Amino acid sequence: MPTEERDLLKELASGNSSVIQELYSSVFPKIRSFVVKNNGDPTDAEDVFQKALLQLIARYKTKSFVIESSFDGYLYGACRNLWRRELKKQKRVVTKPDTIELVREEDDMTMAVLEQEKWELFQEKLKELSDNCKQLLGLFFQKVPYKEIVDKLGYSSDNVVRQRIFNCKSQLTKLIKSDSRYKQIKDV
Amino acid sequence: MSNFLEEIDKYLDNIMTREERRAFEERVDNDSTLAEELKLQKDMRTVYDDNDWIEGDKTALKNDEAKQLRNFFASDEAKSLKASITEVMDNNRLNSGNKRFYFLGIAASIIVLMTISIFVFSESDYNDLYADNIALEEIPSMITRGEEENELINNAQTLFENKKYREASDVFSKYHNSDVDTIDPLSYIYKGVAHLELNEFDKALGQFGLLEQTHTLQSKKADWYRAMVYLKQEEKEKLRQILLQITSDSTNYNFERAKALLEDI
Repeated sequence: MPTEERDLLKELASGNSSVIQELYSSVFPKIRSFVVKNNGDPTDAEDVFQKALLQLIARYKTKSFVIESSFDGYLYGACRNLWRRELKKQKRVVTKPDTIELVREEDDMTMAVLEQEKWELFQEKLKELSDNCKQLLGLFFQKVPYKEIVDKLGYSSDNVVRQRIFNCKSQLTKLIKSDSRYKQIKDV
Repeated sequence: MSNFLEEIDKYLDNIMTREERRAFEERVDNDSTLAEELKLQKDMRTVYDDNDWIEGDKTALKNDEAKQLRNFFASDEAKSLKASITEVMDNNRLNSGNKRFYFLGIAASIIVLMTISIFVFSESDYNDLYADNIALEEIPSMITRGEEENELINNAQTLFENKKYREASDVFSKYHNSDVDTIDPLSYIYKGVAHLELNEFDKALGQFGLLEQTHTLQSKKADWYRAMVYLKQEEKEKLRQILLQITSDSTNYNFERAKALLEDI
């Protein structure tokens, strides 16, 4: 991580409001736009922005935490994930209203971090695959039917695609399992 | 593991017979390795689906990492950080659009000085005031990164920024008529101002009316933009009325600017 961004994290963790303001100006408009376009309102966007910053600070404070990409890009990604998480939660409340349980905020925030860590590991490992695997798995995980994948990518048959996807998925599974972080987050 | 994977896929793809399913689930209950493999494959399907999110297992809260995180989130330090973030957001909400106020203050004083001997406002003064207050560059951007990018919005905003207001307004119409789930309220500001720049006052007012009806944070800007219409239209009385309305509550959007403008006219 460039020194500049490490300092930014440090400043942020100390509650420096000019750093918070800087991040607000550069990232918040995009977050608001994303949230508003995905069934939320600006208040939801503020909530997500606040939680994402706290999440970053918590990770920085409790372990060696490194941001590989740009700080702004990372923060935006974390916000998007928190909003997806929120939508999933809302959906659960609608479909299974009896299962609503009161969760303490600190527990919920902790779970959000653990889930984010799992997400990051999985995404990182996907990037290590060949372009062909990435493309096939991309379609597979977005639930595109095999038949359509055959047409789209010009394969000879369903079976060939099925076999290719199976191999790619095996490789990906192996990569995830052999990463040292997997052991820590597999129970999440 | 590979044998597992094949079976797990069948299970998750829902292509087992009822009998096979039952037998498989029984094995999962008794075989922790198989259970772990199944969880991993399930998680992969969720993580790599952009519209989904994993629901973590709360038993993980008992591990050491989780305990540390939890302690931090429950700490006074976290609470005070949260307060600092809230404060920044609150300030931005109140001041949105006021950043140029000081500049404007100076500009307005100069205009007042220049026109001090002229007791009746002439046409050009209204034009100057409009130019000073419309602050096109302050309208928040609608363009976002990522795959959700809406091409219509990107095009429309670019046309707007290049002052191609006719074309921008047409593309915004297309966007408003498309089947998007939620319309970005900012698009009403953009389209309204595009009409305003083209001197299509009624159409502009129509857009700001729609903006107000969105009942979002942006909708509070509707009055200010209506004021801009009356200013450009030189409807002095209507302008005065709406500025009085804005200045009646200091939390209204562009309160300070409205106050300054009210004094100017």
